[in-house]
Amino acid sequence: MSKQRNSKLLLVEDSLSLAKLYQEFLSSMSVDVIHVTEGRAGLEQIERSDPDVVLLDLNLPDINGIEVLKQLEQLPHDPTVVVVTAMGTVNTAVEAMRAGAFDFLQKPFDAERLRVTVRNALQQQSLKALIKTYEDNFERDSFHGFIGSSIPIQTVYRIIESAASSRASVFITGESGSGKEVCADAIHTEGDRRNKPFIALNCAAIPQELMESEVFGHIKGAFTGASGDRKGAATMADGGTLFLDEIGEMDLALQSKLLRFVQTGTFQKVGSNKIEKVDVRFISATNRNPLGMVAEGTFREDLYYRLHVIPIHLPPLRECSSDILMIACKYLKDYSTEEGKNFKGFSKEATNIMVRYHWPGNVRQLQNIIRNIVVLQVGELITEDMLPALLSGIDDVKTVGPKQYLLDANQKQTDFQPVKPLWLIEKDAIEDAIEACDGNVPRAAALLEVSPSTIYRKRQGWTG
Amino acid sequence: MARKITELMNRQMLSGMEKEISREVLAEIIGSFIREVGEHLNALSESGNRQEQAAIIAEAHAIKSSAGTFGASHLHKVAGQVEVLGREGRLAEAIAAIDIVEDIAEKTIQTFTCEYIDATGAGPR
Repeated sequence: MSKQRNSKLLLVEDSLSLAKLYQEFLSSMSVDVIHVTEGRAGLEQIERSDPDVVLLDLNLPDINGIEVLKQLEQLPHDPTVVVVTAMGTVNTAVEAMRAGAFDFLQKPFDAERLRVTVRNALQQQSLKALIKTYEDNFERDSFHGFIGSSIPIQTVYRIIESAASSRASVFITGESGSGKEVCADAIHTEGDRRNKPFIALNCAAIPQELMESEVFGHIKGAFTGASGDRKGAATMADGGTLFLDEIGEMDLALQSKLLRFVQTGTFQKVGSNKIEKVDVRFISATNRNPLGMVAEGTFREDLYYRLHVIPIHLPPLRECSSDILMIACKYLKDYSTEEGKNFKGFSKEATNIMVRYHWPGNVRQLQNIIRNIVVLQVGELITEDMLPALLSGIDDVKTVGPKQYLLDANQKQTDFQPVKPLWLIEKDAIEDAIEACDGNVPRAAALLEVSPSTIYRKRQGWTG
Repeated sequence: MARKITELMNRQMLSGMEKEISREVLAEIIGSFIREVGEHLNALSESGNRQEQAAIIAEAHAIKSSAGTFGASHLHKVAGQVEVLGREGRLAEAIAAIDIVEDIAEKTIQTFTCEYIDATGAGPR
């Protein structure tokens, strides 16, 4: 028969006589007591033993109990803390509660008072464990930066949780706007490296000739304009996570250097002979098919297998149709608050249109549309007529160039237009948007519902 | 004589503890208490000689805290007074009151030793 585990109680008390007395008072309970006499030893013991309850004296020889509570907040452990003090002032109690204590014992107290308090604290700890189990095993409607409770997105949450504490490389795929950076950030925040740096690098947004320096850094004089030493993303991410977004855009020469870095953790700054070693966890992402890139010869196969250890595929928004309204409501609330508007929800017709739409730009497109409506419209309910025509699919012609959609989604296009090649239409649309935004590329990208890196990449293609 | 012992030692409190943990175990713990009071008393006296306000407050607080728990009512009170004087920045008065704490502590230790250590044969461990 399995024996039920005793609860663990850490007693942080510098007086040996008081510690012995409390231990005797608690001897009738099923509690294993660990005793330390100093605050720092208490924190170490919390990390080592993960106690259920901490009985913490406020006046300790090294650091006081309030400081222990503050440092405890930074640890992953979450014991229920009862503070013990002889001071007995209301201010001390309030300060301790603010710093995270569950209850407060004022000396002197009798055995029964101590046992009741410890029993309550253990009950509180059981409730916390129960809530955690519930959260871990049942549907969540948000997770780090994600919003949604549909089965495809729940699967993503589970993979992130399982992969977070590992050192294994993660490869995220998903359409543009599906939340690849949110996913990378969630993996970092959920894992043991959360207190270390998270460095994100968009391989498409940086000119190829500067990319090596961005990743590995350079030394003074390495190239024209290198007026001093500069740390690269590899150095800055030491101990933490390096996120390489749009990895498929990295050129082949740099891919071979990245391969060595991934394999050995070592690299050389541009212009330097010195080999440096760092501890970095790699997360890569692309909106393209990585195996397709390998087949095309634009992505090294060996690098692919190094990076593609734990694959995470982010579902497009249309596959999470039950989440669309939840996400829309969240952004509607946020943007209405930001813009000082009174929008409270969506009409039934507007909801139907939004749920039926295929959202090629995914969550980013949904965000932009909601923002657009909140800025330009007034009211409490978003109605069908406020939605851009492309959502209802009644005016596909107008969706050819974003310019028409941006300026007047309802105006019929009657003028004859000479037929242009598709790339030129795209170029015109992008340049018009940039001009309309006074040269601000990120703003133009937001209006065009693409990422800024897409614009940079396309512009590079036209000039190259 | 009986009245004086009552002031130095709260028998009702100690009797409650005896019911919880037995007189023998309590005697052992009181042995530790006596030793600790002695240590803190020496430290308090030295802090007074060096006029170290923070140390005076800390040592007086430690004596007050244990004394209160073990029913050493008079010692709890006078050590608490030194702590308050120290916190209020009345250093000269706090230092002057250390003599009183020493006197009461000596009597408290005698009383507790007589009642628990000599009577039960327990000693500080």
